[in-house]
Amino acid sequence: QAFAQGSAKFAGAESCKACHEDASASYAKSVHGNKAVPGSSANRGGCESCHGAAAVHVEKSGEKVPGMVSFGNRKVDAKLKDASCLSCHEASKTLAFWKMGKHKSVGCDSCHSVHQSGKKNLKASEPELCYTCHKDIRSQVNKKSHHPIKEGKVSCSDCHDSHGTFGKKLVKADTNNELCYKCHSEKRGPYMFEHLPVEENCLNCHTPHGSNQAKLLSKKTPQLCQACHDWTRHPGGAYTSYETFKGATPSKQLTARDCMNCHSNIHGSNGPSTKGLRFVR
Amino acid sequence: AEEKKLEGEVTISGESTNISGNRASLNEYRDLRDGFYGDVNLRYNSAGYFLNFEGTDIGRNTQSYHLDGGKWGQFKYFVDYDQIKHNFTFDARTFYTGVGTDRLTYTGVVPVGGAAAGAFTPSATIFDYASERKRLGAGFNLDLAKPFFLDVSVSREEKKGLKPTAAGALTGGGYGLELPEPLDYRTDVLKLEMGYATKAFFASASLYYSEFRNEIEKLYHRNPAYANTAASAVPDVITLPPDNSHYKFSLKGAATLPLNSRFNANLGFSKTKSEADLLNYISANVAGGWSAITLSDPKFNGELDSQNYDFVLTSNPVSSLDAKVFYKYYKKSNKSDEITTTDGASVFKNHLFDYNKENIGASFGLKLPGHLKLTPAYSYLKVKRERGDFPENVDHTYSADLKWDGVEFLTAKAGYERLNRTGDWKQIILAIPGVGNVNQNTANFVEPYVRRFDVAPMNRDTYQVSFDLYPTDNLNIGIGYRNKRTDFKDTILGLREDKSDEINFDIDYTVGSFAKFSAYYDYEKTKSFQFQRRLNASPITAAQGNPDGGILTANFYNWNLEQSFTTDSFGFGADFFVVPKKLTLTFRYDSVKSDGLADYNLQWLLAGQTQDNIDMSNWEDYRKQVFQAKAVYDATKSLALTLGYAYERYEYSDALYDGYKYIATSSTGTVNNYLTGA
Repeated sequence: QAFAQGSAKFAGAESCKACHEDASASYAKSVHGNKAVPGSSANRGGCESCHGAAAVHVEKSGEKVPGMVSFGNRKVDAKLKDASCLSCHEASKTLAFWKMGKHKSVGCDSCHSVHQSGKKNLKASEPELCYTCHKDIRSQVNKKSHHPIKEGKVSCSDCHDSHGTFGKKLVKADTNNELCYKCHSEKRGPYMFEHLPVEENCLNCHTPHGSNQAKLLSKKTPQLCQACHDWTRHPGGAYTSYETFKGATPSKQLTARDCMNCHSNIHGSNGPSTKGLRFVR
Repeated sequence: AEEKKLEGEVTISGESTNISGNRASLNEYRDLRDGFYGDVNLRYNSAGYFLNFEGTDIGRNTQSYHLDGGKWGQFKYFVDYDQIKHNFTFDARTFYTGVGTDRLTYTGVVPVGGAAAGAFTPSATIFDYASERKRLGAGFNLDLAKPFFLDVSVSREEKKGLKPTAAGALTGGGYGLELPEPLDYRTDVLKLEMGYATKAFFASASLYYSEFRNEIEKLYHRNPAYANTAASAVPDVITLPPDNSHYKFSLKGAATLPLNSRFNANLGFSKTKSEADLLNYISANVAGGWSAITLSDPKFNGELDSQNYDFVLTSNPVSSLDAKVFYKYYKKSNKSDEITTTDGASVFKNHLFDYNKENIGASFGLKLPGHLKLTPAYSYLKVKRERGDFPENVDHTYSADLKWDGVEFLTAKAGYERLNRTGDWKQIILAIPGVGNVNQNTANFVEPYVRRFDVAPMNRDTYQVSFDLYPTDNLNIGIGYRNKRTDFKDTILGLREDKSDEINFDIDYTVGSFAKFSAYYDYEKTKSFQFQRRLNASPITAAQGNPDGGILTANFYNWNLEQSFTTDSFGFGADFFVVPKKLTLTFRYDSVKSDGLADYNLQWLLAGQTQDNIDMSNWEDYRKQVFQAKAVYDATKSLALTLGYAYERYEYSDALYDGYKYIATSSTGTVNNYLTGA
């Protein structure tokens, strides 16, 4: 092997270790440094299989030289760094669609450290790792109503595939509803009486990362419902402070679960007659 | 010689808690209580084989276990188990017995309404609204015959508990009746994928099969309004989610092309089926407590099919151009039974909703001089649906992202997106037009002004800018701002405007080997404006329905509402390495606070009302504060001792819940709700 023999181009792993002692030690403990792993860099030329040929770098007493890749350096082109990773990992179902995803512009080393021995070599655990860039999502997840993301029971990667998908927002499904139904299979129906916006897109009413409203609703009820169902009698009523528990005329259309005090089956119903049609049974 | 290595950590924790107030809110997804629990993390490696075991929260109702192993490059397997607790409300109450079963009943008499109900003091069943998911899964990946691969996994999840449901009575003028709905779900999933993966070519075929079973598909209950005097009378019924099965077959592929291009395809076909026995009666306020209905078929067979086609071409022919062109087609076909229901004079069929979407678009990443990268993009989306008001929408989305990293210590990004949604409104035709077409006439007088926000024509602008600064290796600062504004331009009745502003900031700083500091601040302000009309009669005339028709009475008037929410969250923390690799002290404080306002404006005010005293200032107001302190002492190489303290405080106030009453009566003594505390 030209890599290990310290040819004119390659310096050999021992040369690297002489200066980069800590990096060599962490690398040796990692999956990449494990010779029992077929195809690992330990079997393919060690450090230089990822960082590039280092002979000139050694000859010039550690000077930066063209052609070598420094991971973890923001200023190095992501494509250059990724090319090193993809040379081994592209031939997998995980990275088959990498080039379609937006993350190709940030680079593998933004999330992974090749010298780590933790889970998937991630630099931090989810969701903190994702918050590094997606700060607005951190803000959403902190809200009162949220999936148990902070509590460690749902992770970003349960719904999103950071390595590229056909779905929008790197979602792991062809539609939003298909994704939601994977955990909320009871909502799939199919129902005799369907609520059309529900059938088309759960996100018409819900926001998945966090909300100030219960049940991850994007707006507060009953006003969310009224925005579509302005009609004669009670749907078009202006339910103000007078209709609260403390008001002069408490109304079931406003207090507690408001519309859902009667319209309980808003995701769909097989109820009888018009009661099913109106989602009250 | 073979190198075998076992390493890991075992943690045993003792916890003493003192919880006062609303325990369900503090414990929403947790199981905080006095006692001991544990965590285990073990890793074993031996000549190409590996085995990992991880257990967390062992001994609690939030415990999870994960075991995985295999031989590198040949096969992998896993078995896992997870429990998720979701607490909604503790100590809820109802006058029913049989909570948790499919039959709720009561003894004695529960007043139908009026003053008698106001004085009614039922004996109560106390229960918790909470659910628990228990999921067991296993899987196997085979890479032995690379580049061919095979992945198989199965899982079973059971979900049990109680959630609130309701059965209103006596039509819209009656009362709401809140009931505990039993959850007894089981979902079995099988995933199978096999394929071929090389750098140049990828192909896979996969099957996803999911079967949902609900042990309780109907909730029978004695409704005070119907069959009031006889517990044995035909009970009222709420239908619950039916059993269903869903399978999806997918083919995915990718091929590398010349000019550093790649073609990707995804073809998917799915079918979802359900079956439900339909009720041939409805509870009603008649002497018998129910009235018969006639159905063209007593059994409903639900069937939804979907087709999905994605084609994506990516190309990076020169380093300065990174292009992507895509096409997506999705179609949902509704093949469910169309059943004719005859209920007295009303004869109607269930509506079979289906839709299809076509989306085509492109983006071009352009490297410009001066370390600039510009990515303009365009997307065209056409939706056709079986829906009366907007059978078709077209979305044009234009966007541009700009990134600059011209200096060592800064990356700056700016983005803009414009969405134009168009669509032609149509008059809806009601399923039940009413005697003499009276309901349809009403629809004809109201609907021309209504634009439902999910399909309404609109313009949306989104601006965002962010800066990531890293002036030194040990200091990182991130700042972001986003402004989003949606204008539902054709809407008269409904949601007209939606806007939000967001600011995000974070910083982390490391002081040598002595300390690490971090902090964040997130701010969001949202505002929405909706315009509505009170129409307190049925049927109505064209003039009464017209918001500009000049009719202004207590029964016919316009009103509008501006809702605003200001939410900010911040946190800061520090790790002090008091004795490096020996003693670490950690402190952390987090706070999240939201302040909402419902600002009403009514064209007609009742006696005593003013434009100010009808507003609601406690509108989903809440604040949560968490303080944590921890000391970790590494006593030996293999023993660490941790002592921690956490304080949490949660405050909540909302006009819809303040002054909560299980039986609420109006000033006229009319019963509005029989509630349970959900």
